[in-house]
Amino acid sequence: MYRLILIVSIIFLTGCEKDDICPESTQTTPRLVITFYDIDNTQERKNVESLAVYAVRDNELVLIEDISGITTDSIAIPLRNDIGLSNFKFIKNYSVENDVIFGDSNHIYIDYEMTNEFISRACGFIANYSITSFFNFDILHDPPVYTWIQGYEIINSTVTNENQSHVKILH
Amino acid sequence: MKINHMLKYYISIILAFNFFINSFSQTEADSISIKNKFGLRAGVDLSKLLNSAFNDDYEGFEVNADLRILKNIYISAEIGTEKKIISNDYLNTEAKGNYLKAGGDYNMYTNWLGMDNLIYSGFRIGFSNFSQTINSYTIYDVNNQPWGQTTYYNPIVNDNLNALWMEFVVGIKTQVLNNLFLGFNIQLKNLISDKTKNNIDNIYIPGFNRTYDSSSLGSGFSYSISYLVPIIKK
Repeated sequence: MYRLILIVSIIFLTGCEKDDICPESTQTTPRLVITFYDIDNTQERKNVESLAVYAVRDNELVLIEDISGITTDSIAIPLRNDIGLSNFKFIKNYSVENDVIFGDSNHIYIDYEMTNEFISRACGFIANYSITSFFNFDILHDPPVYTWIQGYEIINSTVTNENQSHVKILH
Repeated sequence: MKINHMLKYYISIILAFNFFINSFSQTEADSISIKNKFGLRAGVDLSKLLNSAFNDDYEGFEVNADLRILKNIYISAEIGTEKKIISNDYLNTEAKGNYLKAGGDYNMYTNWLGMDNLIYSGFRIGFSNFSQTINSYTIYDVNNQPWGQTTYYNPIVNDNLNALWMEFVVGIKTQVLNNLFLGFNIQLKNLISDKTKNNIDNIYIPGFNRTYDSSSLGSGFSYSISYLVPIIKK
């Protein structure tokens, strides 16, 4: 009887290292979902031909790997977590030759508030965002330069998941 | 570090087993009337002292005491303080606080003449008052490829937290010198309630040890050295 108690306890104590690895199925920090619509018919989805998106980080362009010349009517882009603003270059008709980028480039500026939300001991925190402003030009550039993105609409300013579109872009 | 822990742990299990098997070879007491010592036994947890000495991420101290009220029944309590840093890929947290555990033990062991060893099982109610500080955290974002990982170093302090749990204890205490005892026990715990702040789970609760996302169970062990102050013999 005593031995049984001890053995059961040992088995119990030995199996105690679960919960320490963040499972891949855990909901991660959501990306901003953008859908593209026709400027002439704002209810109609419209593909962007060969779209690439670069993140602008400290005057340096970093290509978002899964958006590098795709034809699509919706994308999901990650936002910067260390400060509450992100700059992007949306490039239509994209191509690269000898490290030179070709295409129609349009600046996107997004300003947002972040809330870091606790998930679990293994995964820690994820970020949620609340968009405060969105511009389709570079706010540091005077006068502003507009190219192929002719309008936008913030549909959902709160970014907590990727199940719905947050911003509608008209072109 | 983890291997070190596991090693200590296995050694302790082996020692416990040895004692166990040896002790079974004793025979039943005969009919000569013997006097049992009744008194207050008080001691400290050696494992917490050793852990504090050898691990940078831990500081702890525990005093334990028991009082024999019937031939086989003891009232037992532990009081202690702990500080523990837990660090993984995404979090660095520090828990710090005090705890009190109180309950009783039942001695299942029939001693030889004049001996006072115990193989016991017991029950405790534990209460802890503590604080938890998230020293740093890295945002869990699998899509952060263009921006890189972000780690925040501004601490989140949650204080005045508390927890209540119950414990099932199995252990031994053996008299090595007159009135001086060495003991070992293992504890299975079940968290009844804990107070959290800012929706942040309590990662470590002093006295309870680490928590689990998937269950309210926990575990622990202790080595103790204690001294019996005999009050009466009967």
